[in-house]
Amino acid sequence: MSSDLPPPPEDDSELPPPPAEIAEQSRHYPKIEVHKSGPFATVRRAFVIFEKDIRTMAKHGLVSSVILFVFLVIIFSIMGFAMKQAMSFDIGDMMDGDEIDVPWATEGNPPTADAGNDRTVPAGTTVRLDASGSHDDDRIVHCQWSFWEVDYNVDLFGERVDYTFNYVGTYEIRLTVVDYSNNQGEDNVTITVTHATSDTEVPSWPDPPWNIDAEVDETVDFVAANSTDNVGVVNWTWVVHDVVETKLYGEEVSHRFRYASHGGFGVTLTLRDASGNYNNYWIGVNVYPLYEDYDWPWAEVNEPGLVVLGDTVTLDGSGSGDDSSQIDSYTWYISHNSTYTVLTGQTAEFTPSEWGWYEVMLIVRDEAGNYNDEWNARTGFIVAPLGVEEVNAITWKSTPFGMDVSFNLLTYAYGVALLSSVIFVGGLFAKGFSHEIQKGTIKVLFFGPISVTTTIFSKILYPIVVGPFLIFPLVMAVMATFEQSPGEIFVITLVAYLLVVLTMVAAAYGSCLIYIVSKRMVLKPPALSRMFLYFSLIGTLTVFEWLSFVLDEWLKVNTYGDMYDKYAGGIALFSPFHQGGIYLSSRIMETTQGLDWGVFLIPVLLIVLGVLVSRKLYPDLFSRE
Amino acid sequence: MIEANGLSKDYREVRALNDVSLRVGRGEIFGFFGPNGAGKTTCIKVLCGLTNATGGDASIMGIDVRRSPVHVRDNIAILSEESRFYEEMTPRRYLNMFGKFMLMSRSERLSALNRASDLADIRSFMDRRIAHLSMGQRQRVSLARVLMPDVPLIFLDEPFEGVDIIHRRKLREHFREYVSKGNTVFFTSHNLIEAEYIVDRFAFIHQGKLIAVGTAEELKEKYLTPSFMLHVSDPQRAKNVLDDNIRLQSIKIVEGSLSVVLSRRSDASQVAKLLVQEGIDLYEMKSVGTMEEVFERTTRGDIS
Repeated sequence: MSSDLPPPPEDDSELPPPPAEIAEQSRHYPKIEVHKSGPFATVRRAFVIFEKDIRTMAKHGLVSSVILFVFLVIIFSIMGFAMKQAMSFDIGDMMDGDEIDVPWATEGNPPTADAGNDRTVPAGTTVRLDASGSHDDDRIVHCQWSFWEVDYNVDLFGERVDYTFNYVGTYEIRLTVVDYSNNQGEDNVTITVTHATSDTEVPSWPDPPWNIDAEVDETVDFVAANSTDNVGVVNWTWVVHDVVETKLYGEEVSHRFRYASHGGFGVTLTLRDASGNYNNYWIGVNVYPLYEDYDWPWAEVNEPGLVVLGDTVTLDGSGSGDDSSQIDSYTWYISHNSTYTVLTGQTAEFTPSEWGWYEVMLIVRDEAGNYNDEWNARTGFIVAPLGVEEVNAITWKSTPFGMDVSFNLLTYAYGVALLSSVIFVGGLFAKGFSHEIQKGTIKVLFFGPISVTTTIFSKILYPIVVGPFLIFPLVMAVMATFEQSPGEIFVITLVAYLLVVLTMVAAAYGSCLIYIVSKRMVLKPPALSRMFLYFSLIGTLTVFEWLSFVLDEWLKVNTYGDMYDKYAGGIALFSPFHQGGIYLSSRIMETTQGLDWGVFLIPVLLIVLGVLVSRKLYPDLFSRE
Repeated sequence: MIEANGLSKDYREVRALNDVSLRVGRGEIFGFFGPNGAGKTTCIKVLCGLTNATGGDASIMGIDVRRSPVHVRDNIAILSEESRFYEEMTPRRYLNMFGKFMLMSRSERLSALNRASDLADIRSFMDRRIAHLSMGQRQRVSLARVLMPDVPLIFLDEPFEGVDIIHRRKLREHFREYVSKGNTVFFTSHNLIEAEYIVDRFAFIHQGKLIAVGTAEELKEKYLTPSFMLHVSDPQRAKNVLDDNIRLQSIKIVEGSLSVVLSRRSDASQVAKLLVQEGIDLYEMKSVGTMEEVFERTTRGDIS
């Protein structure tokens, strides 16, 4: 039978033409209404995919996410606690005995303090206190001599200090030395002051005024003209225990009391003769307000926090007030190493000249002359010690590996945020994408009216939407150890979050391109689209970077800027978008930082290499374009 | 509905489509057949805008496929042999998700989902995880997805794979009704026997080339000998009558029936007339050639 069959067709020429009746037949059917899904369809569909992924992850990954969250909080908290312990630093009795923490690490061996030998000297002798015999493995950065003289404390600072001992007595002087890593060593030396002459009779003031009444702003004269001594009084030291302790010298002195006394101030007079004999007298001073006003004002000051040497500290007393009258004056007393700086005004700016602890007290006065008397009028700040250029970049010298490690609290916070973000968001993101790639379900999506753009967009939603719910609580929880201000942590986390978004956006694009190439995906972007992907990626990152700069500028935190200042070289080398951000800043915000065009070399090389390698590996992909 | 001119598609060394031209009208079920690797799925992908053709052009409902692939997919439904599922989903959620992709409102989705699940008869397992469904049940879920949107063109790539006979019949009836309203189905299968029940026009593709297009009758006429099996009251007398009056290639009695091979297919009507004139009862007369034989002829048995 088969031998009689007609031969099979050789080519298309034997095919029947498309049936002519089709067109005729079609006229009888109702017209087809072709619809188009509109400009927001991509977004709506992306949210459908996103919702699907989130549901899946919520179902299968919730427990593991919670466990991971708790695990990360514990790990980071332990790390933070360890760091905090290492950084704990107590600078004497700075503020009511409180311990002040600075980001300063410790090394193992404390310094050995050597205050020198005990000595006995006659009154009026200037004694050199010498701590040069002290020793440390690294170097000693702080020497402090403390002792009690007559009825007040004396603190002297420096490796070698000279002090004239005028009063007969025995002085137990404590030397405290602190090394670069905040280890402390102590030693005592005793200076015994004997009479300069054979005279042992103490001076006297026969008829002191035991109580004096005065009014606010009144200047009171203190006269000790009738004080006597068998060989003569050579020194009158008046210590006025006003709001701030003031020392006055001389037989006759005067002092203006600017504040109502709230129960009485005191003035101490110490008389001394040439032999070193002395005697003390107490005078009570009642200072009354200008008019009857029992509502005292209150003062409130901001906390400047940690300050780098060279910075200007802004002190703000705007939180102060008074219930019944107006604040008449703001006076700032900034003490450091027994020296006072007095500033006035509701806000005051102060530029420390040397490192150490600065104590700040704000006295506000109302119109009646009353003043505040509360602890919230006091604050303090630490200026980073000499040799330490930046508080947030202090070298941590004693690592287990014996290497120098730069420790930066902000970088640490940023690191926590970034790491946790990558673990969380990256994990979710990877799960979502790999789920679709591995199972091929992305093809199912394409069988609906889904485009590559839709799929990419749905993946970008991960870091944008999921990020804040995961990253912010975690970083806030972890950083609580450091008692950092929530605002600063927020900014740090926000910056980290933005960078994670950038990373994930890049990953979304990257993954899609990789997927397109490796899986020969259904939609092949033409060369123009491909270039659009590259440039839109760079553009997106640039805008985000610039927004970060704007945020920094707006919040006046400079967190982002600081990080880039420190690491700019490394980051900028691989960061054309960083340069883009700088460019936008310079154009829009008129900043002065210049561009480094050289950084574009690496990305351009990467793109060129990428295209060349792709052409080699997937020639058909390009031939189809 | 579908117009393709000179489509070609290259995968590295392989030419998957070679100058394929098609025109599919409204109201027909167009069958697209070929051996494995012939280019069927590639052709569907090109027509749906899922991949770009290397050469040629195509349009669906007047929409240029290359320029507006998503616009095309807005107006069609596709059932692919590569269908995969989100295993953790239930059919209800899966179909609902696709309803959202189609930007249907909640009420539209509900109505479409109910209709499609009835047609594909998947209600009994609507809330079971897809991972736990059998192959046939999964295929019916896929079919329900295709049946959900109100679109004028459906691409069905091996739609009845794994589906039982009862459901096949029901779905065939549905697709016939669907095209009767002016819609179109583009259908591929390896089961040509079943396809004869449903397909209006056949196209055979082999090694990327379209080698035959036409109705079953046209193709059988062209590629098969006109062979018939006759069930008559008196086979021996019928044999003699036909042998004397009509030009035959061969005639013989096989197990009580008459096997006749005509010289021309157009003589078939003469056979019936003659037998009736001679008073011989003709109980049944059926063409022996099948579309499978046409397929075999057109591809010359050269199937790799």
